[in-house]
Amino acid sequence: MCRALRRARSSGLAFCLAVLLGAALSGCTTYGERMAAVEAAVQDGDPQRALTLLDERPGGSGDRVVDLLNRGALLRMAGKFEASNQALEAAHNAIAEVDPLSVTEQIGSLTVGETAFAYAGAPHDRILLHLIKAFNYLDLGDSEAARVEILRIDLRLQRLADEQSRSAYRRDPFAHYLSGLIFEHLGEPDQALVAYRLAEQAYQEQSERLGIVVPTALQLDLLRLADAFGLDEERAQWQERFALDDWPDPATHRQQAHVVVISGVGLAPRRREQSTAVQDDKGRIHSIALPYYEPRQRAVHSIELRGPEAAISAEPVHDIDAVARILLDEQQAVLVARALARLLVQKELIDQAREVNPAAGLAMNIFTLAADRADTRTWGMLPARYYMARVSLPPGEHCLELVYRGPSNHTLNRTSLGCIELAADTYHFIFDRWVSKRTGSVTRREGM
Amino acid sequence: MSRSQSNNRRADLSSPPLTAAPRLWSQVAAIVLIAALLAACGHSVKRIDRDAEHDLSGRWNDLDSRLVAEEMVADALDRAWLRDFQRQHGERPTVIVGSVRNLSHEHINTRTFVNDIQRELINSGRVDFVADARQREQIREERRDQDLHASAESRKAMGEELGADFMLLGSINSIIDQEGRRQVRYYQVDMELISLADNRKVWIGNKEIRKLIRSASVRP
Repeated sequence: MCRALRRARSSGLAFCLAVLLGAALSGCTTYGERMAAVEAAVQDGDPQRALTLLDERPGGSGDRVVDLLNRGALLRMAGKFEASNQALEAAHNAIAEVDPLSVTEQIGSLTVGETAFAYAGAPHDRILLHLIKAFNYLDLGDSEAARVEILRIDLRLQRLADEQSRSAYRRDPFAHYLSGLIFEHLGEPDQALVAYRLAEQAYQEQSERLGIVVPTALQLDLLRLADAFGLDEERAQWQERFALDDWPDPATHRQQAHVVVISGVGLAPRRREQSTAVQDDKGRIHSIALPYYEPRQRAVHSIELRGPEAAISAEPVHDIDAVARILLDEQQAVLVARALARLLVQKELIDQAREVNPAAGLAMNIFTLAADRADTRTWGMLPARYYMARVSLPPGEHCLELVYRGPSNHTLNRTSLGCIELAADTYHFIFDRWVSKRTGSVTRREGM
Repeated sequence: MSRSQSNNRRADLSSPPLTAAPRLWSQVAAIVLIAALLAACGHSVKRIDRDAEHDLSGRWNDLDSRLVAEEMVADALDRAWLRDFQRQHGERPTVIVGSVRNLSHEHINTRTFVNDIQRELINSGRVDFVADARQREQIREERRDQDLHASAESRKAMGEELGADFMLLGSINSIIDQEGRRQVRYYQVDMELISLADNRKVWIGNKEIRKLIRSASVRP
């Protein structure tokens, strides 16, 4: 009688435990779900509120890197460049901390799921982190600090080539191109030429997979510098490859002022979860949850930089959306293999728990089902694409604006970049961040 | 289910499950123990000696800055330009520190390095030192204020500043070689002392630091 009571009590306890555990874990949201409100605030053109919402929804210790990255991007949108750099530098240090292989996380990933791994940044995150820091330093007028960031990018690119040697994204052409522009800005054309060459090679290599061709502005930069350094053979090769007969004369170029407009458009793709559950012959329920990128509609199809006298088209220079999707595709086989290994471990855990008590087995099954979530963490506050417009103008004051156009070439938004006083042989970097049709640009400019 | 099977099952339940349960609970206990050990590695603060070598990350640090400044100033003060100047003018040269450009791969606070150099030069007692451009502006502002508000006896006149004879300029460069989790960081600090009278470079100093960094490949 006593034994029967004890059994009934222990099964009841285990059942309650299972229900509570299930209820508790079903309340756990994925990172993507946690970020939905933050993203909505950004879409409304309010990065400050997005920051508050991000702070109100702190992730676990494993989400520290992705939280800092998103924080850094939001602070930049809010025009807080120094704070943005602090957050991004903290993210850089946090990545270094979680980069080594973790024994507990490896074990955890085989029992709990992919979210047991601390987020250590996707390969393109680690480059973009420094790129955005360089943007911040340029906005702060600290070109030498921006130079430090492009040297750090160079180091990171060297590691990328080793770590991602089989990936379509083993080079980052935009990072090389921007490095070259900053070197030119600092009066180091020899370094710029090296960076431009690498950028051109990387664009050629990736154009088929990523759909971004060598920007015409880069072609002209290469031809101009080849001329300036007397590299006739190289210039002839490029002239033939690019089919260009006309490029800026180096002497004339020095007499003009140069404007580089970089616009980040849209938001990086959202990671979602797709899961499949099956019941085996012993009544155990197993599920496999894998991440995928939700398709987003591309609102902006072209951008025009307009001055009082002329207008030029901005060219796409970096497709973060495409890079993220390709990297996830390349990772899919590993994710599936780990999910299958996890199924075996979870089956063993359920069986062991069942041997103790059938209700404990049920509790363990509910736990494994609820805990096994796909890793939907991503640096979602990045733009989907970067566009660049390069223009050389006579020294003096110039008032510029950006015109964002939709698929049928209709105007979506206009953003005034203000009137800028330009001096000869100087580079002026202007950044814009377009989020949605409703909001347009979220960039805060002084005096506007 | 037969009676004998039912009895066997009851016997299994009545006695503690000796095979499966200890396995499961020992795994749980091991995880709890690991977690407790990791949690024990808490935050602590300890004051350390200024000269103690603590190179945590392998990046440029306060000790690098101070040692380079000491060695470079010692080298600069031991060269012919100082003796030549004293022989020609019969007084100590006046030096000003210009900019030290950071051309390295990391954000280095060059102001602390410039301050280290200034301190070493002033404390040597062999050169006079004048304020840099930003400090001079502040001091001139104070003199303008004195012109209006200070008594005639205590007022300091404009146009009595001590002009520098030499300017110290420099740069910090780095080369980084990396392979897997190993990295060699090479820093080269170049300093030049330039005569303000005729742009002559009277001294060029150079100090190199090389560090081998091995990053952990595994963590708990």
